[in-house]
Order: sequence, then structure tokens, then C-alpha cells
Amino acid sequence: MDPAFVSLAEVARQLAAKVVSPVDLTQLMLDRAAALQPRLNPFITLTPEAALEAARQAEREIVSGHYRGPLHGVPICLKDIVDTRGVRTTCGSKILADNVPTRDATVTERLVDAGAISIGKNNCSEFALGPTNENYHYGPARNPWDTERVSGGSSGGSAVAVAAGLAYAAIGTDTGGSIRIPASLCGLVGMKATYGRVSRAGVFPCSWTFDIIGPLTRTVEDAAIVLQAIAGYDRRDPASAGRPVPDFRADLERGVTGLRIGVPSNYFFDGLHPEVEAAARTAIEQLRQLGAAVEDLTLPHVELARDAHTTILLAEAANAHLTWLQTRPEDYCPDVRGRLETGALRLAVDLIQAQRVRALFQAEVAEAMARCDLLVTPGTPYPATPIGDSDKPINAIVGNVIFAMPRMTSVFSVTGLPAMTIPNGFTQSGLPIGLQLVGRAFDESTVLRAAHAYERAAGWYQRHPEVTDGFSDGATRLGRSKGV
Amino acid sequence: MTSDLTPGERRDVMRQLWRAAGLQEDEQRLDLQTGAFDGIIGIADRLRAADVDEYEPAPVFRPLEVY
Repeated sequence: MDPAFVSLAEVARQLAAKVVSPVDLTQLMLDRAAALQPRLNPFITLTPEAALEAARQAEREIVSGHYRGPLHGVPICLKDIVDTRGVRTTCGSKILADNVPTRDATVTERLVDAGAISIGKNNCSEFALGPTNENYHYGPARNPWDTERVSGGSSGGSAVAVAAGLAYAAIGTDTGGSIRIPASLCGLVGMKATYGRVSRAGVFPCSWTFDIIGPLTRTVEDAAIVLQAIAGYDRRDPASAGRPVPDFRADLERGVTGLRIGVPSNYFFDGLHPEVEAAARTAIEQLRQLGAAVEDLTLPHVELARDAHTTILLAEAANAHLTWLQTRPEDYCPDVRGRLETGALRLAVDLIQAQRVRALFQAEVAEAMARCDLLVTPGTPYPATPIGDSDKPINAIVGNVIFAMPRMTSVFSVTGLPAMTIPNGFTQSGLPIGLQLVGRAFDESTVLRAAHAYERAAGWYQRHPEVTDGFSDGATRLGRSKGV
Repeated sequence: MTSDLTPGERRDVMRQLWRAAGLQEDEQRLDLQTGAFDGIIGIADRLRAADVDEYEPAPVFRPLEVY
């Protein structure tokens, strides 16, 4: 197998066994990233010197017997909204184009402590506001399955880097689907843990009460490895949960026998691309055949939850940006500026009403989850759309692209529950399709367990985009490093 | 807000909100947001019609057993 597309878990085993060198692995990723940047645009900043220095340190530690764990020596990347000390963090904006943080985000600190090697900062929607990653200032992050199509957003660059084999994992942020949407559109695993599970400290706020940081990876086990490193209480984050962090890989092989899976029959199957709907229904049947008990249910207030999400997100984002919106509005790209203005014009009574609807929907989903271990829905209503089509209507039910893409994911941001999307096949034209699994609060383990079972049965994770031409020296390079 | 305002009244409402939010005067931007008026009040009207008597605002998701 092309070493660039080996799973994080497998490359970790090779690193621990000293079969491959962190330095060679990092150089391979840097070479690929530099070569594919013009085609795919997944990075705003690459940090080759710092990455190689960190890789050399990791190599010294591993060789001397100081192995830190499965991220030690593994090249990763971070969405450019996550603070990195001494490395510019633009948030995909002109306003922060020269922003160089003096302190790492907590997530960055934890990844560094785990020995991960950051090779750079990923392209994203400006200030994480937008589901397509068509960045006005830095250009679109292009989908490696079809470079004329969007990668999804807002963590699009993170998804592109992992899908194209430029890193073994990436960090994204999710406010209404910004991890799960690009994961779906790029054929990846994307995980939003329970709100409060992962510290937001040092990550520019999009919406304080929805934001969560999480991994984009090529396999479910890889997501569990990254989540393990970044989860846990942090006093720098006032919303951080003081809940013990379980071993997220412990239950991966338990299968789905005995699990009760609820399938919301209203809203989530309306207005879908036919191949997305067919793939979701096939996956649900496959989960049943694997041993899960599947039942249909309804979530009567889900449309209102969507309205509540829109209202709360835009009001909180407008508050976070109000000073810049007042003093330098022309520095925002037009669509982001429009969304922030819309948020600034909402009335306080409507924000409070939206928060009450959030409570209503949380109770409704909690009632459903009392009968089910998981909910399953499609990941997005449509596969990746052409770049430049964001304002075009898809159909009367799901609306235009910007509004349609978060349709499946944003309502579960309202609940704060853990949710992840996993690969669920491809359209006839070769575009990835995603499947979403939602679990109970702080029960990421069951979500990961079911996702892993489906992933292994379906096998979609084994397909990768054709971006490997010109990189045949990867195996040779890694072969040289045997016995480091 | 109400959905039966005339186009001129909508623009006046938006102008007042615009000023109250401290945004820079910009007729083109005001035009765009006035165009979005129906969407804004549509969402607000749907939310206001919800029966939420039993629910206090949930500013954030916090399971009580955790915090």
C-alpha cells in the first residue's frame, strides 16, 4: 500500500517498531504537500523547518526508548483557526492575516505532548463561517476526488490534506457540521465529540455554545487515537467537562450486536440526492444485518432546531466579531460579512426564544435516545457541489448549497451530543457519500464502536483519490529508514 | 418584527436595527439585508410560534450529572 495512505494506527505501529523514521515520514508528507498545494490548496501555511525539527526530536526519543504513544512522530496538520505558538494563525481571514499567537491552543499543546508533528495550518472558511471552504482570501480548498468541486467546510483544508495523503490526521472545528460536512464530501471520518469533551481554549470562537474541536482521519480507529490525545478537562475552557476520559479504542471490536439504532424518518430523508438516500438506506440495512436492532422514529421539532441553530450561531458570531464588523467591515469577504450583519440585526427576544427551542429539542432527542443507543442519518443531503455554486438552489426542500450542506449536522450541534460521519460509498460519478452516527452525551465510545463495525464491513475507507502520481518514491524512502 | 410591513417600512426597520448595532452606514449593504428581511422574520416567527412554556433558555448543553 502507498505509505501516504496507510492508516495512522498502522503508521504508529511502524514508528513504535522503528520500522519507519519520523523524519522520513514527515519529509514524505511535506514533499507531497508542497507538490499538491497548487492543485488542492489545503494549506494556508506550511511549516517544514519546525516539522522536521520536531520529527528529529521524535526520532531521537523513539530510538532511545522514550516512546510516547500512537501519535509520536506522526505528521498531522491543524485548521488555521487553532492557535499555534509562533506560527501565524489567520482564521482564513484578511483581518488576522499576520496574527502570530504567543501561546498554543490546549488542543495544540496536547498534540505536541503526544509527540505529533504538525506540518502546517489548513485552509478553512473565513473565521469558520461557511460550509463549502470557498475562501475569498486564500482560495478554495479543492476536493481531491474532483478538484472542480468544494471540499466542504469550514474545515475543508483539513479534510483535503488527510484525504489526499498529506497527513495522517487533521484537526478541525465543528459548529454546525464543519468537521462532519468536509469529512462526508471528502470520504473521511470526522468526529464531533460531546460539547465540553474537548477544550476550545485557544481556538477562535465561531459560536461559543456550539463549537467543538475534533479529528478528521481516514479510519475510525485513527479518530479514536486523536480524540484520546485531545479530550479531557481544561481549566482554560469554562465549558470544559470534568468527566473522566475512557479508552476510546477499548470497545472498537465489540460490533453492533445488541445496539439499538434509531432512524429519524422525518426531515433527514427529505430532498436528498437519490444516491445519498440509497447509500444511507443500504448502510442502515447493513447495520441491521450486523446485529443492530433498527427502529424508525420521528423528531417533530427538528425543523425548529434548525432555526434555533441559525439564530444562535449568527447572533453569537456577530457578537464575537462586532468590533471588526463596525470598524473594518470591508475586510470580510462579502458572504461572511452578510451572515455576520444578519446576526447583528437579530432581536434579543428571538435569541432567547431560540435558546428555549434548543432546550425543547434537547429534551426531544433525549427522549429518543432513551430508547436508542444511536441515531443514524445521511451525512449531507448532497455530495460535493461545483466550486462557485454556493448560492445556487439544490431543490425546494433543502434550499441552496450553503443552507443545504449543514442540514443533517447542525441540528445535532443544537443537542451537544457526540456525532461523527464516516465514508458511505460513492456516487456513480465517483464522489464520496457520508453517513452520520449520533450518540448519547459522553458516550463517544459507542459511536466509535458502531462506526468501526460498519467501516470494516463496508470497506469504503480503503479507497483513496487518484493523487499519487509522482510520489512512487514514498515507499522507497520509507524502506530506507528501516532499522532507525 | 412583523411580516406585513411594506417594503419601505422594512427598510426603515432594518436601518434602525443597523444603527442600533453600530454598523457603518452603507446603503448597498442595507439593501442586501432588507432583501434578507423575509428570511430573518420567517425564522423569528417560526421560533416564536413554538410551544416552549415548559422550557427555560438553554444557553449551552450541560448534562447536570457532569458539571
